Amino acid sequence: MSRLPCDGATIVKWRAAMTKRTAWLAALALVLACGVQTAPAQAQLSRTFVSAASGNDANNCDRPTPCRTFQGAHDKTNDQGEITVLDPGGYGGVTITKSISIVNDSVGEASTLVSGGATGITVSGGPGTYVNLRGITVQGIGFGGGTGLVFTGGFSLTITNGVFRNLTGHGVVFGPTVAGPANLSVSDTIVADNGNIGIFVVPHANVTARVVIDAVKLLNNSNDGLAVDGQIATGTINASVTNSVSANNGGTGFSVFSSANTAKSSLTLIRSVAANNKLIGVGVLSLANASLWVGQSSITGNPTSWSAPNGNGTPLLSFGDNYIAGNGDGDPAPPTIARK
Amino acid sequence: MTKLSPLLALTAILLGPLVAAAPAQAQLSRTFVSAASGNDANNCDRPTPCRTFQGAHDKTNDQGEITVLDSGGYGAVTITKSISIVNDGVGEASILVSGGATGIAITGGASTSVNLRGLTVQGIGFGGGNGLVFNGGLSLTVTKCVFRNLDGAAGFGTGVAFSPAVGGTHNLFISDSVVADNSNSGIIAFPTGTGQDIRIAVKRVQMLRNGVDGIAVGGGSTTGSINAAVSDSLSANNARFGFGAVSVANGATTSLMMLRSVSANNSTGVTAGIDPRARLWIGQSAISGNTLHTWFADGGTLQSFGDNAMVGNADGNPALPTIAMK
Repeated sequence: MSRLPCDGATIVKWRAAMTKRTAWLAALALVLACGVQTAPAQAQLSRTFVSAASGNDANNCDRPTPCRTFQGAHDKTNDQGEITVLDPGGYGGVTITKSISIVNDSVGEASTLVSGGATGITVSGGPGTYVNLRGITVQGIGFGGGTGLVFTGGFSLTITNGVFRNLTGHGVVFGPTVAGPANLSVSDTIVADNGNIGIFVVPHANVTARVVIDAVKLLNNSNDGLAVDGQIATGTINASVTNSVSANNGGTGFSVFSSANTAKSSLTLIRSVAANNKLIGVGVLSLANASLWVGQSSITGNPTSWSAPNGNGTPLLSFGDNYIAGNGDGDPAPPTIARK
Repeated sequence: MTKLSPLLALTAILLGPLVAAAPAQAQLSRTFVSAASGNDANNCDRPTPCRTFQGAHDKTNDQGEITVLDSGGYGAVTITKSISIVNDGVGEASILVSGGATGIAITGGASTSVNLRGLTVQGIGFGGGNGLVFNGGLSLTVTKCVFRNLDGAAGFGTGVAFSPAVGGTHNLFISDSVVADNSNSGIIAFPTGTGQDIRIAVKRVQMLRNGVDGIAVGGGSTTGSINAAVSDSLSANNARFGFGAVSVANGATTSLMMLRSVSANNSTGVTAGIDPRARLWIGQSAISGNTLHTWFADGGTLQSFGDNAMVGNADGNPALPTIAMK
């Protein structure tokens, strides 16, 4: 389809040839094909609705006749459109392949239950895809478990007021597989009780990954609360975390790692809390290309307050204004960098 | 029949694992409650919701969730499995407590994870009771909840009591919640048994006008450790301590990190006692308007990071021993 000659000159040429019967048919086919290319594949709306009470995926998803599932609505929504949740209930897993916004603005819990090793929300868009998710809960229910959200492609993903919990795998995986910029923003969200990492930033390509996390609670995950991993990417990964809590996790509260020939990975942690994790409060967990700065934050109740390897400059630096007490290692002072 | 028998056998093999994997009863992983249209005789699905939290709890699979459909009262609940109960802004979903009852009791096993959001537990007199009592389970996460006006005889009137009795790891997180007007303490963590590993994080919680302490953690009746990190929270107008950590010789190491919080207008702002293993650190916080002491180091370890605002307390705002920021 993408190779059809749809430019104006070609169409004029075909129109001129329409006196010939066979050419007319060919021209008609071409005009129809070109028409299909410019309009949406089906009659789609830019605003669609889902309802657990009255929705049906055979509907067109408009306000009087909403759809039943996120996937049903996604497939009937224009690129750059939005899906509005009408009432509480379960809306199923969804694979997002276009720019779209899915919003539950407190009409009740709008959730996706995950089992059978599935992924609740998959974002696999092109390089211009913007995705916005608000007020969505993704919860594992056992029966084979699964992963909360996996981002494999797109320009940006924004998550607010979300909950990702009780998954057997990771809560949120930010793992773009396409080279180029990729942005993640997570705020006012709970990522808890998962069997692996809470939020796992792990690009797979030559990326410029920009991650901002604000007011997020990373709790009771079996592995790290937040892990920024540049080991299978190249390019850069910059993550900023503010006003967040990573507590009671089985691994490290906030971690960053990379290696000599992989992505330059950094994590800035401000006004946050790393508490009661079972291994380390905050840590640079590899020898090269990873750095972590921490300021105005509390590190308490961890066996090891902070960790960074020797021999790579000073990959973990404190602004000298952190509250580090009550850890199992006697709360050594990390190397510092001046506030300015 | 000779040809049918292998088919039956195959059917049995195919069905066997399915039956084994299914729950013991016909239960759902997602259930609903409605004060408007619910009935506990229902199966709690979306068209036919249940009426009470307990009714829905009992018909929900382990690791399932209960979704609140509309505003109203949903009754006390005893939680014995991993479950999530969520009211996301559909109106007040509340539990009224009287007669010495407990609004929400959690008695799960070693792997039970409970998540509560948007619930109100309110005492209404008539014998009062406690708001939430956690006796067992791996983790409890509470967001956007209210526990208030609990009262009653001795042993009642506490907002949230995190008091597991069997040793092991027990995690508590509370955020964006109000614990107020209770005749006893707001939030307490006083585990019993031995070998406890208590991990607590509190963020953006207001503990107001409680009859004893705003928030207190105590290791005097157990061994092991209690670690609590409280940030961005407010404990005010309580009758005794705003923030307290207590333990005894041979008790659990009991620590409370208080960061960017306020202890105001209580009798005493903060305390740690009666053994050095009770530890409380204060950073970037305000302690003001307390009518007896700014702080009371009753044999415990009580330290300031040197950047707190202590003004307007009745004892003239003495400075605390300091610990360096790093």
